[in-house]
Amino acid sequence: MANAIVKRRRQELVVGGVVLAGLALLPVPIKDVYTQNLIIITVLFAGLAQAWNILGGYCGQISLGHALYFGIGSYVSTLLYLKLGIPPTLGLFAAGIVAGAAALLIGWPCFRLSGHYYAIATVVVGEIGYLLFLNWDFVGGATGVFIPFKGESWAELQFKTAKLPYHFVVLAFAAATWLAAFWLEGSRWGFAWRAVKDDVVAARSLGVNIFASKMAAAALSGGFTGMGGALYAQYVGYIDPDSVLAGHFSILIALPAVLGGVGTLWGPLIGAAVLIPASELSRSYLGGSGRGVDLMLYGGLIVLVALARPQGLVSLFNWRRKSDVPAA
Amino acid sequence: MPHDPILILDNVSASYRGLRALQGVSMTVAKGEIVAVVGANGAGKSTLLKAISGQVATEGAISFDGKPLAGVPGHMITRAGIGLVPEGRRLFPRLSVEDNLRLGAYARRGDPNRFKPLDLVFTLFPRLAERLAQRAETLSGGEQQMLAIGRALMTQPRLLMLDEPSQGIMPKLVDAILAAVVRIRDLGVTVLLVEQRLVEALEIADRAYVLQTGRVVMHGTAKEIAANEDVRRAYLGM
Repeated sequence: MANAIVKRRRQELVVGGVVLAGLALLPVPIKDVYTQNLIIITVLFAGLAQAWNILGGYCGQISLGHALYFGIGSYVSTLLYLKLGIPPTLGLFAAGIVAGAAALLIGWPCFRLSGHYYAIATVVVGEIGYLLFLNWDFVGGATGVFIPFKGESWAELQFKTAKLPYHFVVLAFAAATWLAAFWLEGSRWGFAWRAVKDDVVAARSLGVNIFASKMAAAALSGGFTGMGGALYAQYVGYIDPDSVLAGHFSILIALPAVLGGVGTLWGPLIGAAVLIPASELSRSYLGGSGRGVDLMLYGGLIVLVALARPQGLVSLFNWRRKSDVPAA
Repeated sequence: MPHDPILILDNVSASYRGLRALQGVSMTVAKGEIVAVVGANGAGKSTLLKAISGQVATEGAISFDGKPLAGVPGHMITRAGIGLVPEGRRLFPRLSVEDNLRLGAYARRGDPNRFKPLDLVFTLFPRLAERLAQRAETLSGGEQQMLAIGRALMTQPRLLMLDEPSQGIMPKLVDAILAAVVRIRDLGVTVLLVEQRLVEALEIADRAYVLQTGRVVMHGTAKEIAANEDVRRAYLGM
């Protein structure tokens, strides 16, 4: 039986490699900058949603405040770059560490709450973070921070004319989150999280430290989200609280995973591939008035999926579930 | 008083959902015996197990293997050697039988022998070996109970506590499960059994405690309890 699991995991790695190669080549023949941008943002959100999935999917702790980690990450790498000259390739990791630490700090009081109360607390904490940055002059307050162009550089993740390098950068990020989720699925943490998600009492009776499990998931999830924020800041070249810390951003990070299938390896990617293009298209067709419409679109999609495919879009690809079907 | 005690409760009180569910309960469980705790619904039987496993706050002293359990967090109590088969089984329904058992070994992580109890589990419950890949939710009630016991055995307990193992199970399987409990005891694991089915529980138990509204109203050997007129009238309707 153990062999079947090993085999399935090997298959998944192979599929992961194929998908990675496909995604790497995807924008190469495309000359249209708008489409390239759309692909980059989609891949970035696939990575962010996978990061969210570690806490919200595998561990079952629904966070609606991940914009805070995203924002913290984007500010940390940007400020390290502008004020201390530390290249974003290093700042990226500082962003991950600070965002992960923030997730621990928030988890400390909030994980004492359970179920919906935890989700509500994350909304409130996210809003507090947004307001703090909005009124904090050192980080540019409401005006935000502009990242000046200093010439093409991989170390500083600055590319003037071409978008392709950014594509490879965010793809590496998305691949890292996928690999992390893949590895965690088979690790003792993955087991502990699924136990915590399903039944806290049973998990505790098996010697699982509930609080520590949630904290570990939060730190990893927040850390990866912060790294995504750092990459995003470097890509768009300008950040302010409204663009990286706003509440709707938290929803946007969580939704692809929810749509695609929470607690699954492929759900976040599939969800992002559907959701992000849909939201971008609705925005470009409807202009400034589209912001409300794309939210309605998300809502509609979620309702549709919840009704027709409660396990998420990933359940359309049945091959993965075959081994779980009872033999009898 | 039994000698060589493994679990001692001294004047333990506990509240559960705002109700005083245990009031000054004292009891002793000796190594290698099966002790049954019987009583009607709401007598405090489940709260007793919750108190021992650290799920509810308690007053009074509980000690396991000579060490006080006060202030020991729930997950560490498992690691200290107290296994719990919770009421209603509480399996992980979407995980396979195998993954449920593997989670049982979680407390022993890092130990190269952590999957060793699997042999014992499959000897006790051969059906589980046949259904390893199935999701736990697809098992019958009896099989689920077997899995719950197997999962608890994977923690390598020295004291196994079972909360209503016969609940929701067809009578034929109840006997099989209680027989397995006896075999587990024979292998050296002490058993604390909470059960509503008085007759069956007293048949396999060495000693028993009768709980009524959170107090121990009677204790003695299982034979004495089974023969007691008051018990028979109150719980057996005879």
